[in-house]
Amino acid sequence: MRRDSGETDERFAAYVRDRGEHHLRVAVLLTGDWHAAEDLVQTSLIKLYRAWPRLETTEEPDAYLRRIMINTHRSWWRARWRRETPTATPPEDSTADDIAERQAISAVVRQALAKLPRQQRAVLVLRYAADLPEAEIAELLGCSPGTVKTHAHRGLRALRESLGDSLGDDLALQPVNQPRASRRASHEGA
Amino acid sequence: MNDTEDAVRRLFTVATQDIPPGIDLGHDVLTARRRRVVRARVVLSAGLAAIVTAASVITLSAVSSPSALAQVTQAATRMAAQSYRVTSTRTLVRAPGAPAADKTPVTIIGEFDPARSVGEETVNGGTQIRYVGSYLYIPVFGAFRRTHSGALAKWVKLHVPPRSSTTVTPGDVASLGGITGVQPFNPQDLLALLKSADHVREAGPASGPGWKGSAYSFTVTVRTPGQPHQVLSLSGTVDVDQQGRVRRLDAVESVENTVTKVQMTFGDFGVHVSVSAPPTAETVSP
Repeated sequence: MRRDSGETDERFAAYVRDRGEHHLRVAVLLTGDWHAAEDLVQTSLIKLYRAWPRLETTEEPDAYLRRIMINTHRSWWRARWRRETPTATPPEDSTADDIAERQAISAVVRQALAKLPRQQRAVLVLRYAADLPEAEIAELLGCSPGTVKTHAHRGLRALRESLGDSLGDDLALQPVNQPRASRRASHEGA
Repeated sequence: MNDTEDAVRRLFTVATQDIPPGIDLGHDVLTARRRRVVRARVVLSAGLAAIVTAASVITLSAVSSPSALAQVTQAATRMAAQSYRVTSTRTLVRAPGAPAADKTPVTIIGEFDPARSVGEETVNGGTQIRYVGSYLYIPVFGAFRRTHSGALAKWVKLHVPPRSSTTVTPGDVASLGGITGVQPFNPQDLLALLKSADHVREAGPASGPGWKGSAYSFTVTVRTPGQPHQVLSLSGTVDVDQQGRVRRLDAVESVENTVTKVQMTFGDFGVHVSVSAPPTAETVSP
């Protein structure tokens, strides 16, 4: 059913207003810096917009947009569009110590994430930033739930090794349990 | 849910709280669509001449409006051709293993004439550092050194090769350790980095005492010289006035796990900078 374009735009704008920031936060963890994150979300939103009139009103656009983002990020990565490391974060107006500290943590965490293989990073971000269940992550990434668990375990371990000494006790990661890795998963990742 | 998962969620929450200004997600999408609609209507309702005219306007406007990247790189280039005074504050935000005292902000006031390759800066109101040609001179501090003639040295003379890093390299630091007690900070190094910016976005209007201009957010990622390579990331906001000069720069610099906050304010453009090298008899090279 075709809808009025004005109504479509209004609904789309409302969706972006309500959910755009959430997806931007997920994107910055995938890409490592805000500008690349903005590019990723904008590009994905344009694709979502094209499909928007075809989406059912009851359908969850988050899942659709998330899939576009993952696929777009994957294609950028394969095209070596990515940069070698993420950048630090633009400062805010305030010079307060806590803001500087937050910016520092942001930079360190995003750098640590960027060092992970792409699939590990995607699993951690989808699991702990987007709060998706393992089955949905597996479906999104085209792998088995066991592979998702393996990537999550290895990603957490790598993050802990990378961040353990540099972050305060309140944010430092605790040791993770023994892996439940599948042999197949060891060949996936980067 | 275990402690590790909780910790990761907290980390990710903190790591995404610094959304920079100027991001408008839906705007570009809807604007692009409206442009397409308008363009289609023009094609349908107007003749070939109108299309040519519209295309010309679009082309001209694109040419007459330099990109944000061009604005910033041009401003950085312009700063290399004129003298100025600068006040900088560097704050070590995170440095694993560094003493707490190192996180005290360092204020540097200086004047530079890049075209003549001279400059001078005062660190925390005390130590004066001179830049003359491709050398910098730092007062000897703490340790005692003798010159070739046997006299006590007053200055350490360092050759400064062109670099794309805002900080001295680890090798430089080692050579300075215990001799000078300060770290030089040539603002031109940082300004030069802006020419390598890989992302620049206009972030809105900017102004200060006696000037108006625009703010741009930027990110830069470069490899530091020497081995092993380190990746230096710099991102922040730079204010450019209507004369195309850099007026203010706020950035966060990150090298590995060391993070430094940098704030710089430029002014007094065209100031006469009078700096000379110390007498050779008073200098020593590390």
